[in-house]
Amino acid sequence: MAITSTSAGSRSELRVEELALLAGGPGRAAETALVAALRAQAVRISRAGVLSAVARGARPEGPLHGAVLRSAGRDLGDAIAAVAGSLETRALREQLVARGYLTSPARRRTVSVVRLLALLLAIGAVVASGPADLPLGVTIPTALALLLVRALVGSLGKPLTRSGRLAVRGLVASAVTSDPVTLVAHRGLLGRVTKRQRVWQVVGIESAAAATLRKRKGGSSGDGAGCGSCASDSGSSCGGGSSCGSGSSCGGGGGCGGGGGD
Amino acid sequence: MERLGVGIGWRPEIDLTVERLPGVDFVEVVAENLRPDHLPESVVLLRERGVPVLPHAVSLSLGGADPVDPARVAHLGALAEVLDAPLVSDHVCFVRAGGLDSGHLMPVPRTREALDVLVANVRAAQADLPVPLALENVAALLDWPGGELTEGRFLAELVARTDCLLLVDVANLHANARNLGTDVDRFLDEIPLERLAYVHVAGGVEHQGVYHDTHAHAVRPEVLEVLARLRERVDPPGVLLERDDDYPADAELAAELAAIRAVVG
Repeated sequence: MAITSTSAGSRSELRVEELALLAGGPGRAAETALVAALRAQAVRISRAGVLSAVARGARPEGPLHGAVLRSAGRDLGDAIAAVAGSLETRALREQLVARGYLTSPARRRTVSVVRLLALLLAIGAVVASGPADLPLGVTIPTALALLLVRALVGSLGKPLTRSGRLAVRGLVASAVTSDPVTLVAHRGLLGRVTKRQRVWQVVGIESAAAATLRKRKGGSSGDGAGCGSCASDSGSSCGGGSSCGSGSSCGGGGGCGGGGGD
Repeated sequence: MERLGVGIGWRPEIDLTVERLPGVDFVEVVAENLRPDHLPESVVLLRERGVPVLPHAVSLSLGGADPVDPARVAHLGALAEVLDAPLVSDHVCFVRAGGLDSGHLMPVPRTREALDVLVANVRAAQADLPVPLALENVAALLDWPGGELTEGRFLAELVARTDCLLLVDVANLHANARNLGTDVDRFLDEIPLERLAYVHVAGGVEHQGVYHDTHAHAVRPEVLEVLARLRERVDPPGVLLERDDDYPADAELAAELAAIRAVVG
């Protein structure tokens, strides 16, 4: 899986911001875009964490760069929340749905309804067996079959498609400390590189600036933006290397893009 | 006069840049933006490194008809003490009158009467400051009518009567030369350069024949030329680059500092 931050993405070639969105949701994508802009000297962050645009600075072609520049004047945490909630990030997510990396919200809603119905019918079959005088030899297998359907359908409602999961695995393999942007995409700024070192330290962000990241956790940017980015710790037990599994607050729930591999 | 070297204005937006730029010998902070009891971490770090930090005020309004506000002077003095600064500075200007703040550094009429007022205010400020006070020439878009002295003579008499130091802003001098016809060489010949504390250099832009001292553009060659003409007369103890907005990349600021260093040697 090729990673690029400049060329237009295709099914076989994903931008690093897209991979970040798959791995950790809109917040992770925002963090990645911001760090890419920082590395390109398109923006700078003060010791206290306030973002500002560099005059006549580089203008990377990243899909979220415009949103990053518009967040100038905010502190790091607020800037990431703003980028995560931007139209650009929403568009990026919709593109990933269209290209088959993310499951569409409609499909996930349908799956949820089917799973709920299957559960209710299974319970109904068992409960109704007494009053309706149905033989247990019929109702129990029916209930079990419904629960099996529920379990099988469940995989169709995960935030990441198979392609998405493969892409995240490729990101995990390529994330190294010598490439801070990819590292952020993989682990998030609050993720750990070692037991004592977090990603924001590798990127060169000061501790006062990093402190602003915490306040956006559980943020309130609305429409999924508040999902922020989960920190993916080294040695996570999650298959995709991310601690943001499906169904987590920044994964499968709330239309916040992918939550990493399952 | 204490040797300061080449420096840059410390601003919160570029604090890390200032810390990382090579060859920054000293910095200047806007006094009104700092609290003596709560210095920014970056400023503390620079002091710990031994980098001189000079408080530069913009609100004393020494050229105003009102007496100097003791609280503002006390604030400036407290900053000087906590920063262990060798001197502090403000401008030859007024910024408020009749209870109104201009929001600009307004030029003082160059009359003997206005000079008397200025001298009285400067002496009052000096009496309450723990370190020497340097005063800076401003960029003016107008000359008040009835001026009795050239800008150089006005400053020379101010220094003679108050023993203050001079902070010569060569960008302001260029602005006055371009906009008001100030004679640069005459100005430099008339001021007591032996009382020069340091020099300001800043960027600006020319628009429809008027030079604007924006501090948000690159330093123009004409300004460096004024610096060179000053350098022909004196080896300035320090030269400081002022940038207040539209901060460029670190490399661009480093190049401006290098250009200044090339002029002053």
